[in-house]
Order: sequence, then C-alpha cells, then structure tokens
Amino acid sequence: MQPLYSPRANFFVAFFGGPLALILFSALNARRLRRLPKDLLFYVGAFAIVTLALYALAATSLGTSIAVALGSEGSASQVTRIGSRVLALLLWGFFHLRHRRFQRSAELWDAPRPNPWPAGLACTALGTALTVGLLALILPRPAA
Amino acid sequence: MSEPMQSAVETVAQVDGLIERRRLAQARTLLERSLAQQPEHVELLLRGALLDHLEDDEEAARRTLQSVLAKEPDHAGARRLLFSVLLELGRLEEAEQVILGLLRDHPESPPLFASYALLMLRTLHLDKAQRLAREGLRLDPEDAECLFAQALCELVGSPSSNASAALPELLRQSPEHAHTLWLLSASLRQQGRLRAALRVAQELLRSAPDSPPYLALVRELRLATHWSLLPLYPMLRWGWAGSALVWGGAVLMLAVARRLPPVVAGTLVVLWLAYVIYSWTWPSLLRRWLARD
Amino acid sequence: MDERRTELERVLLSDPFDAASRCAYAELLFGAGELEAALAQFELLAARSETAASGLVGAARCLHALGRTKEALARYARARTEPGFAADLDLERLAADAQPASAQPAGLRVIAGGGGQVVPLQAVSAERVRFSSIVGMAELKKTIRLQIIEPFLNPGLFARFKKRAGGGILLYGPPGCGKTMLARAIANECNTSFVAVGISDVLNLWLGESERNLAGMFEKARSQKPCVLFFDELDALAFSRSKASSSTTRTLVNEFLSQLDGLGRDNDAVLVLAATNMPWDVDPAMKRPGRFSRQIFVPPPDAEARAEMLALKLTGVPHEIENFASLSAVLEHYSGADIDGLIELAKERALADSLESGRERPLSNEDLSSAASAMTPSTLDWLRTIRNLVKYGGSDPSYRDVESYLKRVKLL
Repeated sequence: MQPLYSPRANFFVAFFGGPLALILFSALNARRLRRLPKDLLFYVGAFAIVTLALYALAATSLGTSIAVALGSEGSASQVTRIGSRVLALLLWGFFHLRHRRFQRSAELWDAPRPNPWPAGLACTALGTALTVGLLALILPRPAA
Repeated sequence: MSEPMQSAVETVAQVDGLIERRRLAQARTLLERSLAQQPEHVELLLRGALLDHLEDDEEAARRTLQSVLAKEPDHAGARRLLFSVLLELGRLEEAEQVILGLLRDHPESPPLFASYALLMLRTLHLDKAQRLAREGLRLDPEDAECLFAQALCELVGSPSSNASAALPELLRQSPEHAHTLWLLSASLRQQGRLRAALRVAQELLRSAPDSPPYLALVRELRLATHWSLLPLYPMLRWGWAGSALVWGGAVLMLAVARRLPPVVAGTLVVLWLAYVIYSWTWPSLLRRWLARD
Repeated sequence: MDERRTELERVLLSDPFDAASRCAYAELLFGAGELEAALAQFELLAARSETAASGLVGAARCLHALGRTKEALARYARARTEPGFAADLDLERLAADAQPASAQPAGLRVIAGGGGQVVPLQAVSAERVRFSSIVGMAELKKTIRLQIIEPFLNPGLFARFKKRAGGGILLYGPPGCGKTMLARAIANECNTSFVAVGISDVLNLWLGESERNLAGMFEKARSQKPCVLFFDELDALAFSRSKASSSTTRTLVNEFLSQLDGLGRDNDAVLVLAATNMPWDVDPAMKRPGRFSRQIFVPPPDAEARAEMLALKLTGVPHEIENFASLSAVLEHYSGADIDGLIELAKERALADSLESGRERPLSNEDLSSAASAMTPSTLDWLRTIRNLVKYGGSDPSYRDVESYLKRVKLL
C-alpha cells in the first residue's frame, strides 16, 4: 500500500486548484488505496456536479442573479469563481469523509506522507486546463 | 543428563527474567557466556536475536533469526520474532508472508490474528483488519491482543464495527497496561477531551519517562491544551470541520463588514488578518518553546 | 573421574536441589579446568540462601581463575556477609593485595571551617563506611539522620511522638552516586547489622524459589534485629506488575508486599532500605504507606563533594593541582564513578607524555580538563529522563526533591 496524501494537501489543491483539480488529486489517493474502482462512480458524479454547477453559474443567468442578490458589484464570472471554490471545498469535505478512516489509521501509525507538490501542481494545472476547456464547451459562443 | 543442555535452559530462563526487568546489558553478558560454550544452540540464538531487536539492531536480529530458521524452519518463536523485526524494518510484505505461514500452522491462535490485524491496519486494509480482530475474539473473547486490535479498528472507524466494546473490556482487564492507556488517550483525543487525554498520557509517561513516543504525545497534548491556543479551540476540537466553521464565519463577517463604517470594517479586517497570522505561526512557536531543553 | 561425573549428573537429574551433590559436581568441574561450567554451578549454589556462602566463594575462585579479578573480589566480599562463610587463602591474599594504596595515610587536609584540626585522608573499606566517610551530601545526610537514624538510636523519644522505628525507605538517583554506600553508612550509623540483597540473591529460575529466597532474607533480618535490610536494584525485584508479562514476576512482587506488610510477622526494628536507578519501574504498590513510603533522592555529588573526591582519589598520585575547587566546578553532574574514569583518562595522558618525553611529569590541571572535555557525565541521561517525568508527567509529590534539584542545577 502506498502512502496517502494528507488531508491538508488535498485542501490546498481544492482551494487553489478548484474542483476538478481536487477530483484528480483525491482520485490519486483512491488509487493508492486500491479503491479507485469502488470510488469511480463518486468521482464521475462529482465531475457531473461540477459541470452542472459551472454551466448554471456561467452559462445561465443564475450567476448574475446571485451577484445581484448578494449586492456585489462583481460579475457572474466572479460568482462562478467563488462558487467553484466553494464547490471544491465541499467536494473536499465529501471525499475527506469518505477516506477519513484511512487517514486516521495513517495518522495512528505516524505513516510518512509523500511529497504532495509534484502531484498537487500537476493536478492543479490539469484541473485548470480542464476547467477552461469545460467552460469553453459550455459557454455560448459569441455570435459571429 | 546432558549438562550443556541444562545450562542453556537455565540461561534462557535467567535471560528472560533479566529482559523482562529491562536488564539488557546483564542479559547480553550472561547470554554471550553461554553462547561461547554452545554457539549453535537455537534457544540461545533466539534470545540473542531478541536482545538485538530490543536494542533496535534489527538487521542483526534478522540475520540471527534467518540462521535459526535455517536449522529449525518451523520454530514458532523465531518466526514470531522475525515478524516483529520485519515490521520494524518496514518490510511489510515479507512480514505478511511470515504471519500467514504462522497462521497456517497455528490457525487457532488469537494473538496471531491480532498481529495480522495490526499489520492490515498499518497497510490500510481496514475491513480485513476488522475481520481478523473479530475472528481472534471469536476464538478467545478475552484475548488482550485481539481486544487491542479490535479497539484500534473501532478507533479508526471501521464501518462494520460494533459499538465500542473492546476498549472498556481492556480497561476492565488491564487498566494500567501501557497499550490500554495509549488507546484510552487516543480515544479521548478523538472525542475532543484533550485535557483528559493529557492526564492519561502523563500517566503513560510517568511509567516510562525514557520513551520518546510517550514524550512526544504528552508534548502534543500540552500544546493542544495550552491556554494561549484557546482562540483555536474549534480547530483543535473539531479538526477540519472546525476550520471550515471558522472560515465560513470569517467570510460572513467580512461580507457584513462591507456594510459597516470603514473604521469598523478596517478594524475587523485587521483583527481577522492578525488571527490568521496567529493561527499559522503561534502553534509552531509554542511547540518549540514547550519542547525546549 | 568420568564415572564420578556421570554419577553426580545422574543424581542431580533426579534431584536438582541436592546441594551437596551440586557442590561436589562444581568442584569436579573446577578441578577439570571447566571453569565456565563450574562457575554456572557455583552461581546456582550462591542463589540458595543455605549455600550462599560456599557458592559465592566457589564462584569467586572460578572468576579469579578466569582472570576476572574484579568480579571475583566482589563475589568474595559478598560471601563474607553470608552465614557459614569459610575463608579461602588465595582469595584472602587477593583481597589484601587489592586494597588501594590510598588506604595508607598519605596526605593531610584541614577540615574546612574547623579550628585548624588536621586529619589524615584515608579510603575506608565498604564495611566500615560511616556518614563522616561520605563527602558532601550535607542536606541529604541531615534528612536521613532525622528520618532514619535518630528514630533507631532514640526509639523512646520517637515513641513518645508515636513514631515507630523501622519502615521502608527508597533511595533513588542516577547510577554511581553512592546509594549503596549510603545504605551501608546508615546501617553503621544505626549500629545495626546489615543484610544486603541483590538480584541474584533472590531471583531463581525454579518456580517458587524466588519467593522462598525473599522470605528467607526477611527472616534472616528479623532474626538479627535491630537490622538494616537493604535491597539493591529494587526495580528488578519489585518490577511493576502492569509492565510484567510473566506471572512469576507478579508473584514475587506480591510476596515482597506481603513481607513488607509484616503480615503475621514482626517487622519492628527492621529498617528496610532499597536503592534503584529506575524508580518508575518499581511497582506503585511498593511506594504506598507502610512500605517504601519515603523516597529520598540521592543526587550526583555537589561541587564540594567533587573537590574532596578528587583530592582523595589523587592521594599518592604525583600531581601539581592546588585548587580542586575550581576544577570541580567544571565537573557538573559527574558521579563518583565518572570522576574515577576522568582521573584514569588524565593519568593516561600524563603517562603518555612522560613516556614520549622520557621525563616523568606529574598530573596537571590541563590533563584533567582535557579528560573532562572528552567525557560526558554518565548521570546526564538519567537526569534528562527524570526531567521528562517531572516536566511533562504531571505533578507527583514523590519527585519534589528531584524537581528542586533540577531547578537548582538549571536543568529545569
């Protein structure tokens, strides 16, 4: 069994990388736990939720409505960014609860943790690229 | 009578007594004298390996055990010790092979199930660990090692575990045993009862003040219960949920602060920044200060 | 010879407790030059109270023949305190030759603060050691005199205050700081007989023998009242039952507790002393009232004691050191054994220089300072461990005096 990335590492990837980065990073832990087949459905579901949320916030008027309701001077894109971050943290919480007992066991044995930087940066970069690509797909193209 | 054999038996008994009383140097002297006469005696070699293991010379212990097992491949004591040595060396796959072999030969030995369960806990096969601990307890419901393994599984929250029954049973059986106290401290920590956990950890340290893990545990708990960390109580008590709570609260507060006069808003922002800096820097500074020699 | 050997082996197989046969077997092995085997047999005899003296003498003979002179002398010294002791000429000669040269009065010192009275410096044999022979430890000696010695010497006075003589005292502290010597001094100050018990006097591999040996020691002490019964390495004899894995250890502790409580027996005027380097390994029940309820910390020698030790140990050795006090100031935490080691190291340096230059030179301050820089006091590990206990282990009144000491020497 390979050592797990810590909850803190997951948190930072979620906070700075966004929900897709978090999904990728958490999937790495699932793979290390040899639970990827078991958790795959949840990761696919999370991806679907992220897509829906991005669509709702960026491609519909929901983002603008929320911005207005909050009295914010910002735009729908700001709301999308903040919403995306909140979603990332919520997903982090969900997957943390799912893997919590394994993390507890690792803490109990004072298991060494792998260096999260290479995987974290890679997931962040890939997540960002995926998010941009997803947004490009779901956002309506400007009329020619 | 074969006089050398009796001497070895006597030596082994004396060495065991000395080891139990932590007189490792004396045990080593006695053993070396006996080994000089009987260098190939299996029980003496086994005690030598045990002494190496206790003195953290795991490689020497492993080599000796390999030579013992070359003479007597089925020697249960040597295999048991080899399992422990391989665990210390971090060679978990080999350790698993050894324990599986022992279980095949002694399928009704609860302590072996307990040892395997602990290995599975360490390698994060939690469900398997739970099943093994349960099987050991089925064979002997009062086996202390199985109770310990079961209690550990409950502590990390195996989904199929019963309500916590193992720890109370351990407390009833051996309330002063180091393993029991350690488990109790860990359980109290998980429940957020940090001061109680500290008191138990202190009792552990009093019984073995030269133990680095116990010292580290007490230092961590002293840190966590220090009065200057009271503002961080939600994080200390509820971990990540507490952090989320504080963070959510801060977001709300900053959102509200926008509608307040600039002076008030500014003060709140500064206070919040100070709190963030304090939460990032003070615990590590305090840890160093508490650990100063 | 072989027939005799086979016969003895057959007898011992059927009755391992046959002391006479075992003794004969041991002598046979000794005569045949199988010294290690003979030593093992004599050790077995030494572990039994009725054959302790002959066993110890036999073991000493084997050790002497094996060239382990120090151990031989130690065994022989213990044999002397056992009933039924019979002197061995060779070992008597060895013991006499081993008396240190400093036993001869070779130097003078002025008693500090006295009226210019001078007394010769002498090493004192262990049997005759008194408080006046132990340098330093003024506070500790005062505490012991009040709590232990005076109740023995003035039982009437203490009885009027309803304070009984006897009871148990546990001396604890780092190794090599004079706990055993202090126990002997207490016995000599009380003018009582002294029964010393070590691990090998009690622990026995045969089931039930350890408990019998222990009970035998207590009976011996009771038969010699008033008496000081001293247990060295108490942590080994009364190892904490919560840490013990074998039932024999627990049974021995139970017997020990029963003997201390004097159930059905009379422990009055039997002062039970014990010493240990690891008080945390002693079963907690041993420290409860009526048992070893008084625990006295024996610290490493203070500066004055270290200076006097240096002066005493360098008697007869060519040296040019005038100010022992300034030298002892840099030897913080050094035990008596450490000071011995330091002096040996310094001597080696001086001798090496003398041989190299072809000219004998005396020991100098530099030799000792240089030796000190190459050494670490052996008490530091122990002091660090007890500091963990005091600092992090929560409040424990039994370690209050250690805490004061650690604060005084700025380790806490």
